[in-house]
Amino acid sequence: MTLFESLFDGNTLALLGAAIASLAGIGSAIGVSIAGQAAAGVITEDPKKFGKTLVLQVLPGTQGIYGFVVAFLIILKLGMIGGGMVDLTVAQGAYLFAAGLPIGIVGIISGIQQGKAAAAGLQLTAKRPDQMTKGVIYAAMVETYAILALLISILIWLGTNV
Amino acid sequence: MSIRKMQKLAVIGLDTEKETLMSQLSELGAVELIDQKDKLEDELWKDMVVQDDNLAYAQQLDQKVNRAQAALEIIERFDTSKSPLFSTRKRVKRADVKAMAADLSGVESEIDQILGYGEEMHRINEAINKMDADLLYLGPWKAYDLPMELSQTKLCAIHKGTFPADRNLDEMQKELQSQFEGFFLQAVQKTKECTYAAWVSLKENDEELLEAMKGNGFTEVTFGELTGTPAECTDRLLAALEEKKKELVDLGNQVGSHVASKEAIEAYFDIVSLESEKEKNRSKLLKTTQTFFLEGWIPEICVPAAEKILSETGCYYLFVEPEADEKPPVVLDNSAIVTPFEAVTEMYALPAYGSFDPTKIFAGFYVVFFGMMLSDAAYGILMSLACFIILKKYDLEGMAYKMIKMFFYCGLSTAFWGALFGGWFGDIATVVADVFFGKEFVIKPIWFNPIEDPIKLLIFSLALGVAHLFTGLGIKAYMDIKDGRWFDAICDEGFWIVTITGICAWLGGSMAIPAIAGVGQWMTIVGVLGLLFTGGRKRKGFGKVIGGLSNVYNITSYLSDILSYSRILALGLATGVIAQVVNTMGSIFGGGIIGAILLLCIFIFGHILNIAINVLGAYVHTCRLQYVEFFGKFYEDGGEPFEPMGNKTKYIRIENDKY
Repeated sequence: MTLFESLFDGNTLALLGAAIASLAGIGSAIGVSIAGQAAAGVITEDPKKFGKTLVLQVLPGTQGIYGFVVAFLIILKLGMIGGGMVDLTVAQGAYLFAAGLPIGIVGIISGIQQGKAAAAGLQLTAKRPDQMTKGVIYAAMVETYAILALLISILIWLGTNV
Repeated sequence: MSIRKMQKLAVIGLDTEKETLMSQLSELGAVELIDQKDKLEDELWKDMVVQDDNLAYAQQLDQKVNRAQAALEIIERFDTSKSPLFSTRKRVKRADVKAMAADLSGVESEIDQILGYGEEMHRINEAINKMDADLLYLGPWKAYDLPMELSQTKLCAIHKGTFPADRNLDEMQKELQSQFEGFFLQAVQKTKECTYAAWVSLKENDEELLEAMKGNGFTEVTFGELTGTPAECTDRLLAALEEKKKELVDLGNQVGSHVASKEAIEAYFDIVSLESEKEKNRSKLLKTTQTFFLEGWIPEICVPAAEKILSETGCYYLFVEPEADEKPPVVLDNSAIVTPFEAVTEMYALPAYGSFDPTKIFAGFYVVFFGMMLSDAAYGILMSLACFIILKKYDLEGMAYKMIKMFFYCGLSTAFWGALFGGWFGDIATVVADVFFGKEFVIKPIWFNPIEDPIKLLIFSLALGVAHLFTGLGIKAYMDIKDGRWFDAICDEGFWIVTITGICAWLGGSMAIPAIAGVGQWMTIVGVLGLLFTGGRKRKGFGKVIGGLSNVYNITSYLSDILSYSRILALGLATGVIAQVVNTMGSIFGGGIIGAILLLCIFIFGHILNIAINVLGAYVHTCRLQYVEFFGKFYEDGGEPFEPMGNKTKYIRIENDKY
């Protein structure tokens, strides 16, 4: 058996999928940071808006959670939690690898972009606090695609029989 | 129609009745005056009338409002009671307001007193700041033991100041001592930036030495009004500071004793604001030497009440229907159960007057979509319970009331759908039964578990979406037909409904029920042909072909509209799966007491997080489905909100007993 074959069995592929899924956290980290910087700017003007700005700041945080959920689901299917790890075929591993891709990739980009939309929403909140909900809706529109990616990830995961 | 009908009111009356009439209309709170500026330029009017106003008085009132505001801000600082989660306006009877308005001098003198305290506190704070600055200034000079005001003796001159930190004072001392008799230089304090020092010399050498010192970077320091040695002076200042701070506390206590009259001042604020608003509204009136003229919008149901006032004052008045080119302000009118959903409509934009208010139609869809997206029975019960408690505890009104009431309904729906899908904090019962009791236990879903059969829920979601879209198209068709455009209703909405129903039947038929596939096929063909031939009917020549083709091409936008409803499934799964992940993480630690405690911690934290994410998600995405997919089909926005005079109060809610 070559080194390649011994490393890249089904289980490794599945774990790589889980790792990629959890990368959605990159998008959230950057997005929350962008929104957080804008929020801090708003607070210097009016500290009373903390609650409102916080809602907008955490919006891009969901991608990370979705990524985490998919990663956790894949690990769960592998049976790593609780000890009894199952042996996957290469095909099964590839399925789970594929399950990690949508939320991993879309999560990164939509997290960053949602952070930018949230930052714009924060500017809106600074000037017109009463219109804040509209800023939330604009930012949440970006998340649609992360949710769709999550849907595909979960559907692939559901469809993989181990 | 659920947009209130408006009437236009025009009044001509004697000047002597103006005050009474304005007060009574303001109390009625149902008339929005119309600005008359364009009449001033109208040939017919301009020689007869001038604009009425009483701006000087209005400004005077505004000043009073500002003073009350300032007094409230001062009280706010010393109000130790916890501010409530929701600020509510206190209900006050009209009679009580009148009694209060009759004698405002008591509140006014109280406001004066509070503002007096405020000024005093401001003065003391300034003094404290100056002392703090002085203390800071004296800090480095503590070791200097001569009085600061002493700058010369009979024979000697004394200088105090700073040298740059890099100068070596010892060398300077040696060098200058050899040149000048009686010279003595002493460093007082060294810091990173500079050295504080004092030097003494004979008066005859003073000027020459000063030059030399300046060459060495010396900067003279003066102490102004500060006297005595720095140490003494510091002690004195500290004592005085203590004194001032005590005074400040005393003043604070005195303001604190006025906290009880906060409500009275708030009521005063509103009473005077209303008076000021009324005076400002006078600039919307026209007057001659003896008479006045006004116009305003009034909801139809308030006409009898207004009529009573007007006939009592003996004015000449007229109610007319709004003309087609006029834009009356808009106020929505729905039954009590639907009213909360106006929050969603209002947040988008009010519908134009004469168009359609869809609130009562989408309310049902809203509740269903929200429930399916959150889809956990326990979350729904918690949410409804929280909203119920808030509604019981706080006397909410306006937008806040509508939102909370709406979430109450959405919570009920969530509980319903959660029970159908078998989600009770995800699968916590199964996990606990397995980990702690070693048994298998599942709360059976009443319908089915979407995690086991997501495709079923996807199809159901899309079907709901089609129903939602058709309702939107139906409203558009209704509006077309109402305006007498039958043909447009058939071409623009009818053919789409036929086409989409056809495609659905065709697809559904080929997969499940072959009988309807043929019907679907024919419906699709008829629909598409209809769209193709009528799409360009309003264009000319070659445009007819392009119009028809682009109309058929619109099928892609309908497709994406329908697929957009897959978010119901996605958000529903997200709630369920995240809840399960939380439960599984909690169960990792196994049974026993420690396992139970850890499970409890993870359970509470995880499910609160999940509720927060998914309530926000369900709310925003349900709104989106209304705004983009549903409203996009028919909604005409652009209504101006109805803002009658006499309604804008901040702290109190005046209850009329007459009407």
